[in-house]
Amino acid sequence: MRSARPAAAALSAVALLAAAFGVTGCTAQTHTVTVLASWDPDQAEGAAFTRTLARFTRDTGIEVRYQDSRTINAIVRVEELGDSPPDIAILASAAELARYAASGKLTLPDRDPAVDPSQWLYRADDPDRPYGVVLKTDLKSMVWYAPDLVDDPPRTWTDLVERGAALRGRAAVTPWCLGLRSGAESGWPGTDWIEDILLRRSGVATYRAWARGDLPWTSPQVRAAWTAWGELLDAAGMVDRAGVRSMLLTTWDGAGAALSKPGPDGSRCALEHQGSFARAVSAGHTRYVVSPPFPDGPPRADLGVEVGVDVAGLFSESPEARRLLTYLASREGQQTWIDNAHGAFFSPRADLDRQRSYGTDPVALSIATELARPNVIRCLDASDFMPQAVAGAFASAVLDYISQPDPARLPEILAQVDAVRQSVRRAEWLTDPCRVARTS
Amino acid sequence: VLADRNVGEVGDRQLLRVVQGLLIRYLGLIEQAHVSLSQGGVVLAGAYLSYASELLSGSILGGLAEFRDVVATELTAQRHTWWRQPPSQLLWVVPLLVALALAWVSQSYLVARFRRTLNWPLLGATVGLLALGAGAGVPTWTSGRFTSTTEALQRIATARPTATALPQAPDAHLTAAAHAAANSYLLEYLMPLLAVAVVALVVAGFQQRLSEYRLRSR
Repeated sequence: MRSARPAAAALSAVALLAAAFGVTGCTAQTHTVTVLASWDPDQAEGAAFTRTLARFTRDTGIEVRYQDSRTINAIVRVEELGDSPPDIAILASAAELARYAASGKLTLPDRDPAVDPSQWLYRADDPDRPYGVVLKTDLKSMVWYAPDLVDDPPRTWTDLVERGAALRGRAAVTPWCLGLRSGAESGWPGTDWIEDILLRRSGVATYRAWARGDLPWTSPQVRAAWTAWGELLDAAGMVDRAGVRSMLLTTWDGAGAALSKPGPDGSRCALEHQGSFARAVSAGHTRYVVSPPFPDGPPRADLGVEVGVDVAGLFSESPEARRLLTYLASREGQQTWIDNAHGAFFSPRADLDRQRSYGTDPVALSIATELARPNVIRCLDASDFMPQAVAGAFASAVLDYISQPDPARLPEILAQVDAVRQSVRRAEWLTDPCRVARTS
Repeated sequence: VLADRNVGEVGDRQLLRVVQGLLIRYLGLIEQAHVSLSQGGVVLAGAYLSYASELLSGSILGGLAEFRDVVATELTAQRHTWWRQPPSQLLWVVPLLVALALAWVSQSYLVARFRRTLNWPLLGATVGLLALGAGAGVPTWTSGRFTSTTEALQRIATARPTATALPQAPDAHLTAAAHAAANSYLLEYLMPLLAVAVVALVVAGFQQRLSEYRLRSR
């Protein structure tokens, strides 16, 4: 028996070496999760998001590749036709995400208990299975003002118009910070204006009917909202040729920057209608007021505020992607996101400790409290809620109207958008953009 | 070569799809400018052209530049990876030599102990080991072609368009060379199979002699 030992040892050694050759390169790989969203990593919103993704990678070892583009809807439509959709796409348009869900392009996420039930999005024809999850929210019914140019916050719509008129002609001051330029998505700052005016002037019921495609664009309520916006800009002296060019060619974030410091032309602006995300792109957003009510506006029970959301959808079955989506929506992920954003991220969750999250930032704390205020009707940005074809026509109509802001042109402009509304199939419309806030 | 790793994988295709989506939007903006101009909206047409120009010079060309940089970085990384440096060859040369030496020692021992000419399964295993070594050496033997191909591709990837000419596209010869350099010749499947076969041959070769030894011991 002793003689067999060298041979057995040699056998083992040769076998092991051969096996070692064979397994070279056979290493386990985890899937790299690809994420498509609109936040620029070079700006605060995108930087906060990428830091949150980095934290996820650090905690789990799962790599994430982030691709940003403001033209995200158009891109995802192209992805839809190709073989390489992202694992997760984060869109501002709930309607677009619902469209993908209806066409079977989306993977429906699991109802993980780490996600707050209020974050799930459901289609009316499939109320049991969510198609997306709300990751981020912003207040949009708000007017920022420069405290050194505007003494106290405007109280009513009439007051707001008069403030603009009072600032007209003041040297080196433009009453309203308004830039409609936003690359391929230009026009959306104007759609936000119209939506907010319609909501605050005509109430939730009208807004709901309009956003779900039941109220024609040629209706008196919609036309009145456009007219009110035109009158506000006219009163502020902003619709002359130079003003029009400035509004069309100034970027939305560049316009807001002049709220606190002079722009390239040396002038400041005093008031800005912009969402809470403006804090992420400019440091001058320190005072705001919730969009003031109209004197002849709806009763309190029908008065809502407009909010914007960013919703995520799963385009793959990858377990790693599901894990990332759950993390981003969870308490832990949202808290990390808040910590990384320095007061420029607002969570759709009501169970976070706002005092701890924003305690040193009174403006952020105020906005977060406003977003979580109980018994307030919050309505999603209508252009994000409408089918893309209508939303695109809406933005184009804003640019068209501002280029020649003559109220006499409104019927034709609104009729064109309404023709698009009527051409969209009923199934592409979502049903209810407004919901009463949960108690906090 | 591009298919060898990330470039050409999902992330890179997505980047190109982003550019494709932006191009479609760019054409839409140009069309809107055209319509506005035909309706007398000179200011609006100018605005649309301005948006289109911004999109082209910023996001679209920026996206393509990013892709070029990714390609260039990856090609450089592939060329300079430690696995393609001479010292890394020791990782497979040394085990190969040790394995061959052990096979030779085993063969000699078995010939002497059992007075047979050759142990054929063990000889087959030795040939299999040589084949494994040859497979592991493919990157070394093709390194010259790999280097020249990646350098040529990198020159194309980093070339910038001029006012009158676009960067040259890879010609058929370079495309064929890139395919050849990236071709693994199914080694990722063949080598594990070969390794299993070697192990089986070694076991078979020794099993005969061990059985014979046990019979003789009785």
